[in-house]
Amino acid sequence: MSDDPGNVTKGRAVIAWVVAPVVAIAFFPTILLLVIGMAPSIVAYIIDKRPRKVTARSIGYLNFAGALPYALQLWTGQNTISGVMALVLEPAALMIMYGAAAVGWTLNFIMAPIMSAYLAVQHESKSRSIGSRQEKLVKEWGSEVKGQAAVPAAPQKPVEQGMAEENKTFKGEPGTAEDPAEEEEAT
Amino acid sequence: MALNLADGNDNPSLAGGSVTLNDRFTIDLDGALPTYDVAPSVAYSATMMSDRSRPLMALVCDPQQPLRADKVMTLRAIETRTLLKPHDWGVIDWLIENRRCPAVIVDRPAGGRVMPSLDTRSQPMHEDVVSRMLIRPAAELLELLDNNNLTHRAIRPDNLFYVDSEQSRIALGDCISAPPAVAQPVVFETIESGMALPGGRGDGSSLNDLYSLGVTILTLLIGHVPLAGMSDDEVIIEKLTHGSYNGLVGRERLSLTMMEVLRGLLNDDPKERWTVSDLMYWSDGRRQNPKPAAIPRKANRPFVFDGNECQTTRDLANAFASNWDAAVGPIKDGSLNVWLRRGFSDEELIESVNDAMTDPMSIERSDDWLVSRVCIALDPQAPIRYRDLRATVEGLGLLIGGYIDDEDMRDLFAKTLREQIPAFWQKNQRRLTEAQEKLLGDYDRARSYVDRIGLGLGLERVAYDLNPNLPCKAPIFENDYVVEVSDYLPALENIAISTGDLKGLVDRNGAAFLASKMARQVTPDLRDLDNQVDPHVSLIASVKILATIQDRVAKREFVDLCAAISSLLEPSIERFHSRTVRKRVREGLKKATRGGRLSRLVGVVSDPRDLVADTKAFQQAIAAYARSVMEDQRLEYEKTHRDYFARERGAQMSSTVSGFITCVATVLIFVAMMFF
Repeated sequence: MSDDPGNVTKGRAVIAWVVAPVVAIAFFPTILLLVIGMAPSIVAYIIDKRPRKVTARSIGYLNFAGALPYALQLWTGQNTISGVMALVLEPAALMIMYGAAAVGWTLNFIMAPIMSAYLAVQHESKSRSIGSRQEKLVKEWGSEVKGQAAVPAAPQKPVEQGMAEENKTFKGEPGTAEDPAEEEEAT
Repeated sequence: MALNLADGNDNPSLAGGSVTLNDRFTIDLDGALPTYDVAPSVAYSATMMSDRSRPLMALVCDPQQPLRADKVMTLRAIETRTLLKPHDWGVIDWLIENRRCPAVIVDRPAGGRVMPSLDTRSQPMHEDVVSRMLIRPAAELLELLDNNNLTHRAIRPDNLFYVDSEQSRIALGDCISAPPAVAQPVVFETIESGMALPGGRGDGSSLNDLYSLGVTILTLLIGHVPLAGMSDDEVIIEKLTHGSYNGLVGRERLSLTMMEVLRGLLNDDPKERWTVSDLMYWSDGRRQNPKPAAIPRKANRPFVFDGNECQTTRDLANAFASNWDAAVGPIKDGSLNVWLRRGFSDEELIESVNDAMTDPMSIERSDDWLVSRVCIALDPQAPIRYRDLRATVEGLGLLIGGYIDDEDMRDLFAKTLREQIPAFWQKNQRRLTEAQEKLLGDYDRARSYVDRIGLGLGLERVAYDLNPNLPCKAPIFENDYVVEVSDYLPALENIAISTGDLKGLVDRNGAAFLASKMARQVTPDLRDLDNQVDPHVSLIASVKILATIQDRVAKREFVDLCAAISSLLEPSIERFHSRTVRKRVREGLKKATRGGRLSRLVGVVSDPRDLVADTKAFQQAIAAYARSVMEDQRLEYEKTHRDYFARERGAQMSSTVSGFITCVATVLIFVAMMFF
């Protein structure tokens, strides 16, 4: 049956292996330009261990924005390998494409301390809110309201980034780094 | 605790002042009248508020014994001058013993006792005087009592009073202030009633009164109590051996006229004993020739039991009852059967005794069961006997009322009902009165309660069912006298006022008392009262029962009681989890307390909707707290690993920003390409 997920994947793989070479052959100059121009993104993609490759994406998006004008120039001008070579041998073109990628890297680096400061404020606010809610509940219902929640929680084990791949940690642990964010969005 | 007669009379100055009874009578605590004491009651001067000139006295009764309160109204309505009529009764504050006691207001005779004491000899009365002043008026009175289904049961010489100071008329003394015949010496009772314990003699019939009257007449005629100096057992044996008339009259010199009336009144066969109308005929001058007492059938040779020779089955039954444990031997070894067959050729008697020894249910029965039934078969007229329990059928219920705190007697009574001894007694009777039939039915019904352990059941319930006059024996009322449901709340209110708090509201005795009086209304709450798991349920059930009494019987406010119960209910407020609801309930209790209605207290503290809503909200609060704890834990975790989360989210954010910038840049590039 064609609805079988296995068959669908297989079908897509066939299309990819058939269509991709055809496209690569048909748009070879453009592909070549992008491979050369987006080399930093390819490197970032390779070294980014996160499942969703967010670092590679931030570099790749801007890198693509830097390469796009030259790809358009290629299409509107000499769409050949020599045309590509003429573009890539122009220092300014490579500098713009790689500079855009560098902006992506920079963005990625400066966003972490900004986010750290933001989280510090957010955590304080949340902590106060939770304390206030608990205090209200205890005031209204007495310490009995703590029920089994009064039993100390199991000690938390430190989780490093590498464990994320194991995907065996509880909800909210760094291993499922996207979950807290998703929940936060939900909230 | 019986009344302390000595203290009550010798030291009346301990208290002084007066108390009122039912707002109609004043009892002078300084006015002790020992001349008119009727054991176990003590007499005090009393006045009617509306007619102070009327000579009255109050008989302050023993609070541990039920007085015959249900007879007061009927007796008051009887038109007679031969009885110290009761006018009213009630419960008074008996300051001398610092408790509350029942008291009966009766006419106070102007003369003294006819015979000051049964222990002393006095001048014999002339038979004309006895006939004119006692026999004729007493016959008229007993006729009136009989017509009203009443008995006196306290006819004896020291309970006869001269009504006037000239000593021209005699009246019978009080018959209300104690259980029937409880103070009667054995000699003044019929053989059967004398065999029974004083508390188990029962109301009996007019024939019992006539017998007592006969002995009283004889005592007045000879100036002393017959068979004085003998023990109760000896009196019974003397009467059994010679018959009551011969045993009591003995060699006393009496006129033929008096012999005639005494022979009629002291006949041991109830069927042959003179009735009230026979006595009336006699007092009208129509002489009769009473049948001599039937001579009990004697065996050819006596049955030797415990060293005594018994000639008749009654003697032997009495001997068995007196030496219970030894009676098992001759019954089981067949010697009794042999003696009956050889001594009496009475197949009916033999069959009856064999029936007594055989259990149709083929259950292994105790020796006590065997002896009790054999005693009944040998002497069907005798009271029911079961080891130390001895009571007439009329008195069996009264007995358990009097001995409800006696573990041994409780056990014997329970066995008597459980083993259906009254039913076997019934089987051996040739004729039963309507009253006896009704009582036997009551005992059969009571059997179903005896072994039930729930509150409002058990022996206590049986005792209250069989004794409408029995005061509530709950320990909380040990200083009070609660005989009607309507007295229950006022008694609790008195305790609340005097002590400020209550230890309990409805205990086992109280539950049985209330269940007996108003079963239909309180039974559902009795089940909750029995709740051993949750003390709040039990406490609230007891308040509900009291609220039912207030709504249905008392119909007035009890502010102090409400305040005391409100304190008791304080822990029950803790059933609500919400502090806001608790505060609201506390305020509701205070408000309901001021109103004095128990039902409002119950409504405030035990509203099922509030309880359900509180429980539901509490569960939700627990869940919310648990969620907050989890949030807190996650927050702490995020704090601990903030750098990691900052990196991750920073990367996501930079990815998003990059994407956004790329989109904008792409659009701008296309626009630039198109226009430039």
